Amino acid sequence: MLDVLKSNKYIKIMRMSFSQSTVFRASYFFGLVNSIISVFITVSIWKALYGGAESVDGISFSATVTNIVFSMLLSTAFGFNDFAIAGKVHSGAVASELLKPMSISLSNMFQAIGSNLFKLIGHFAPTLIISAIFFKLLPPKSFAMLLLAAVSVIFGFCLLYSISYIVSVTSFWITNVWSLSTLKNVIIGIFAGTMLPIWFMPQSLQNALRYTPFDVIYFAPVKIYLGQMTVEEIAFSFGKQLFWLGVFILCGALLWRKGVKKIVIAGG
Amino acid sequence: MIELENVVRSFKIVKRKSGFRGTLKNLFAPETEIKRAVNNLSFTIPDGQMVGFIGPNGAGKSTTVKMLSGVLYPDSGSLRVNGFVPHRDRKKYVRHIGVVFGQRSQLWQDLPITDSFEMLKSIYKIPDEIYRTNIELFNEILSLHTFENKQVRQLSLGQRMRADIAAAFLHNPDIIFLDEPTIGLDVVVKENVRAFIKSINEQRGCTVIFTTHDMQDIEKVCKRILIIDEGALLYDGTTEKLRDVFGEERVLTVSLNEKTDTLTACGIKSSVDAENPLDHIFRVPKQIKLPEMITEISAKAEIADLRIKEPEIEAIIRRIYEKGAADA
Repeated sequence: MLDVLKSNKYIKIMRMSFSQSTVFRASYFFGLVNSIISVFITVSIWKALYGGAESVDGISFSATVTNIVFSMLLSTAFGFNDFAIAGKVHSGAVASELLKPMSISLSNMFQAIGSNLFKLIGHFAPTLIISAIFFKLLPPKSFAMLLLAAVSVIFGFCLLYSISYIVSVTSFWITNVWSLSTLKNVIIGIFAGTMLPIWFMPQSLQNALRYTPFDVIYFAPVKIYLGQMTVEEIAFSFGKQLFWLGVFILCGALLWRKGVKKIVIAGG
Repeated sequence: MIELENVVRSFKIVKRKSGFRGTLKNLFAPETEIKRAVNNLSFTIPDGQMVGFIGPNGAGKSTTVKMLSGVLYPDSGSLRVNGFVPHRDRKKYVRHIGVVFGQRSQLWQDLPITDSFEMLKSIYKIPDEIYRTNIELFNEILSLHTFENKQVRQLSLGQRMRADIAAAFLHNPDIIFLDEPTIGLDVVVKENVRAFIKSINEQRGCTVIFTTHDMQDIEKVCKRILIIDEGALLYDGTTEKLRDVFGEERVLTVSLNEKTDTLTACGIKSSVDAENPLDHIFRVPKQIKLPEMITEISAKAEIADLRIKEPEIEAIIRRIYEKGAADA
C-alpha cells in the first residue's frame, strides 16, 4: 500500500513541489518575519480597539485574538498560485503537461498541496508557536473539537483551492488573470473574516454570509476550535463546505472543458 | 496508423493598432483576423514509417503535430491515430506517443535529469525492467551519463535536446513526433540524434514523424516526405521521387584540354566558366541521357575531366516553397 502511494505520480508531484519550496531560503525567512510582524501589528490594533475591556459585544478579547491569529496565519499558509495555469498557457508550457497521461487539474492540485504542506510546517507552525508565547491564545475546547477543527480546515483549504482553480482556468479566455485574482483575494479577505471577525459584522451581513461559502473557510474552524458550535452546527458547516465544494468543482471542470479547446500555442 | 481527413484549424489574430485612437479601438472594438494554419489537410501514415514533415516557417507543421499529439483541438475534419481521437482521448492516447518539441523542453527545469526520468517513470508507470534497459540503451547512444546529475536549466542546448529525446522514448511509445529535434545542434550531436532515431525505429518498428528545416535530416533519416505550405499538402512521396519529379536538371561540368567556343551536344549549348575558361558547363534536363551526351562532346573536343552534380534536395525544396508544387 505504502509502495503504491510512494510511486503514485500525483504523490510524486506533491513531494517534488514540497522539496522545491525549500529552494529559496531567503524568501522563506523573510516571509516568516513578515507574518510575525503582521500578527503583532494586527493584535496591537485590536488591543487598542478593546481599550482594556474584557469583552466587546459579548466577544472576549482572547477569543478575538485567537480568531485573528488563526485566520491570519491560515490565510498566509494557504496561498495558491492563481497564475500557475495562466503562466503555462501564456508561455505555451501547458503543451508539455497536456502531453503527459495525467489530469492537469489533479497535478496542479497536488503541486499546491505540496507547497502548502511546506508552508504549514515551515510557516504556520513556527509563527503559531511564537504567537502562542506572546499572546494569550485560547486552548481548544477539547481534543475532539481540535480534531473536528482540523477537518474543517482541510475542507476550507479545498474550498479555497477550488475557487482559485476557477480563477486560474479563466486564463484560457483572459490571458492575464491578475485583476480577477486580486478581486477574489479581496472578497475572500473581507467576507471570510480575516480582516474583521464575522462576529463584529452587522447582523444582516452575518445572515447573508450564511448562504455563502465564505464563513466556512477560516471562521468555522476557529469557532469549532473555541467550542462555539453545537454538534448539529458543526455537522451543518461540514455539509455546507461539501456542498460548495461540489458546486465549485463542477464549475471548474466545466470551464476547463470549454477552455482547453481554446488553447493556442504559437511558435515551435 | 495515422489518418487525417480534411483537417482544418484556424487561429484568431488580434490586429493591434498603434497611436491613441488605435489603442482605444484595441480596447473596445478590437479588429480580428482569422488565419487558417491548417487547411483541409489529409494524409495517411502506416505503422513503422519514418516520415519527414517539412514546409517553410509558418506552414502549419507544428500546428499539425500539436493536433496529432492531442494538444490542440481541430476546428473540423477527422484525426485518428491507432484508433484514438487524439484531443478527445488525450489521457489514454498520450501514453502511446512520445513527443519532442525542439524549442521547448518537457523536462522539469529545476530537477536533475535522473529525477525527471524517475518522474516520467511514475507518470507512465514504466516497469522497472523496461526502464533500466532503456536508460542503458539511451546512455550508450546519447551518452547521457556525462550530465545526468545536472539540473535541466543548467544544461547546454545539445545536452538538453538529448535528454528531451531520451525522455520521449522512455516509455516505448508506438508513435514519435519530433518537432525540429535538431534545431541549433552541432554536427556531431545532430549525427548522434539521427543515429538514435534510426536505430530505435529499426529495433522497435515505431512510427516516426519528423519536422525539420535541415534537409540532411530528411535525406539521412526519412524515406517519405510530406511537404506542406499554407496548411495544405504540396508533395507526398519518397525523396527519390522528389528528385525525379522536381529535379529538373543535372549540372555537367566538362574540363577540356584546349580553349574552345561554346559546344553543343544533344541540343544543349554549354556556357564557358568565366574564371576557368577550360570548363564548359551544361545544364542537362532529366530526359537526356548523360552517356550519349558525353560521347558527343568527346567527339568534338578532348575531355580532361568531368563532374556531374545531381540536383540537391535543398534546391528542389527551395523552388517548391517559392513557387508551389504545381509550377515547380
